[in-house]
Amino acid sequence: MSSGRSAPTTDEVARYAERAAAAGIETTRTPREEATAAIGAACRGETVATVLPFDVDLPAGATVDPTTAHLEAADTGVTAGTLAVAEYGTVVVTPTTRKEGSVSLLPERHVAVVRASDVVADMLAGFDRLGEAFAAGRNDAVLVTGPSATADMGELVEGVHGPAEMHVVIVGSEP
Amino acid sequence: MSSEESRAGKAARIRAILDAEGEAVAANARHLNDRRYEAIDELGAERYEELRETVRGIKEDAIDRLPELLATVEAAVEDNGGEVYVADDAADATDYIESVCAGLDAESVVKSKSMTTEEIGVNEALEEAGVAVHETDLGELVIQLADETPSHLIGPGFHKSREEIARLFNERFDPEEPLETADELTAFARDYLADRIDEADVGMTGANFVVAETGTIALVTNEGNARKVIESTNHHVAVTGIEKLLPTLESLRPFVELIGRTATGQSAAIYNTLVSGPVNSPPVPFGDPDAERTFHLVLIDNGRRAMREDPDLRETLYCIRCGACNNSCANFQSVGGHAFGGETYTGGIGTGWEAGVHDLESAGGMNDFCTGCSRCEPACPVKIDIPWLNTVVRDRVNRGADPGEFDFLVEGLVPDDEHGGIDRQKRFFGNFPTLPSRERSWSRCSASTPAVTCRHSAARRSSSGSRHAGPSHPGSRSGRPSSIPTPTRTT
Ligand code: SF4
Repeated sequence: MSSGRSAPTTDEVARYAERAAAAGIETTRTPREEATAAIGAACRGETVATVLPFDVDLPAGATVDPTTAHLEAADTGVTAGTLAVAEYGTVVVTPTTRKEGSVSLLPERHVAVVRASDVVADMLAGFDRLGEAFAAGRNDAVLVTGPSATADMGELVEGVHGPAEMHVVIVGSEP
Repeated sequence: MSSEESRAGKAARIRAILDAEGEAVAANARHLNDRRYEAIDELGAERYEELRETVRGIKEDAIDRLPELLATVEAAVEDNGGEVYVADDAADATDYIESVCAGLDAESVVKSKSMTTEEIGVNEALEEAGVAVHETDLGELVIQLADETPSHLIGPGFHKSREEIARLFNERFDPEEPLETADELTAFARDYLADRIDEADVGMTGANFVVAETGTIALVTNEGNARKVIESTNHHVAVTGIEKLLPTLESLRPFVELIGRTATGQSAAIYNTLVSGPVNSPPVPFGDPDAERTFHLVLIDNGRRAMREDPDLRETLYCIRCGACNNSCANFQSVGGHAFGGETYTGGIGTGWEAGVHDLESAGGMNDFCTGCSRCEPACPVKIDIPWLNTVVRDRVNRGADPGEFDFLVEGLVPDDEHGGIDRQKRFFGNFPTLPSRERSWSRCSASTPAVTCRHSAARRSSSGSRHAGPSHPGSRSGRPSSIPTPTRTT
């Protein structure tokens, strides 16, 4: 948990879940002790993952630091979400050398793991946090608000260049 | 256009476009309008207006400080390990991009959607230089395969129905099973493009916004193709207009909250991707982890600095290219962008862009479609007075190259500065809200503009009087467009 930042109220996490649902994102809330199991339950089929930058273990079946072949064969990609914005249901993926960029984008399903302390109320607070990350040199970020979609083929289709399904696991909050 | 084409000829051409494209255009525009109203309702009228005020202020300030922001972004991108090139015009930009590709021995480029690259004709230039170019936005792919031009700012294939796209794909790719549904077409296009993206040497994107302070570009997409293009190539060329500069990361925030709503009626676009210089995520397929990554930001002038000096066209530079003005336009909803014309930009704000980056002829053709009804203005997230821009362009076209040529003949002879450029019919419609309320009780402003109130009629009512008897226009300032030094607002 970041220093000096108060934990979000249960309401904020609940609001996140509600707004995420409106954006087509499933959510699970889990206490820290059960986080690994909750992540596992959110995955489908072959799973690739990137190491989480906080103290939560990945499920045993997930292939960490995947090769191209793993990535291409994967049904699910697990990455951290470094920030979540309750008002929009947005989750932020921070691509690094650990391959969060491709793992979050290429498999059919993306599972993002977010700490409850990283859920902020609105975009204003979200951009404050982004500003801090940028100042610290992490100036590459993707704000994701739902599964990849297009209407260019005459009707809305989910799953174009990115995942068709998204699931956010919020760690450190009681369901 | 109007000078070269007879009225009957033009009518026949519009009818043909109506037949071929009208149905798809109408369905798409109305669908997007409904979604936009919902997304703005969700925000609440008050917040929406607040955000519009905020982004308007940010754009006015940014365009004001453009030279300073250009210097800032150059330094910031270099700090991040990238390069900035400011191109004077289209040829300068395409020469530079060609030289970057040649320096990398690039054989193929994958692109995410960018109207600015359409404006400078980058695909044609690269193809002539022997570099293959593949569009990865599905709408843009359809247009590339059909060898057509985009008919809408954000929906290049706005005028195409699913059936037409299926026919095009089946003819072009001859798949084992003919493609039919939107799901099948999307899956096919994704797989086809995945191979193109894997093979590509260079990824080219536009940029919806550029944050000067941090040297960051923001890309707004729903498909995820911009990020995929960047993730999968070692070399990223981002091409955009100099007007996209914003001072700080914080100043980007209200745009992120607005652009999804006015563009596609989403609370937020699905992917708001922020990239600052070469990314360090390993490109797919994973190869040499130490391979060099490069980032080139090409900022294009191509008339924009002159627009900045032009008190009437300057406002065009605030445009974030969301397309809401196209969708809200009663005429655009029926005929679409191909009837409106314009070399690159069409409908709504297309007039201002064409006048600025191409010429009056290209802008003037579409101008004929504007009735001055002003439905577009409250739809614009940056509060651009688009009908006024149409009036300005109409005036310039009508007055020709030397607007003041015959003014001396009538100097002192007329009671008011009669507006020579606007014909009576247009003036009548332009002044419609000033008619006594009984006559206009069925007006658009009283019933049919959901979620937003028409500030024109309110302003008009409170200030109606003799000045509206003269040359005017809804939401406008009275008098001759070019005589007003800085845009002033009625509210
Ligand atoms: S003029 Fe306004 S409504 Fe039209 S595309 Fe630009 S920002 Fe959107």
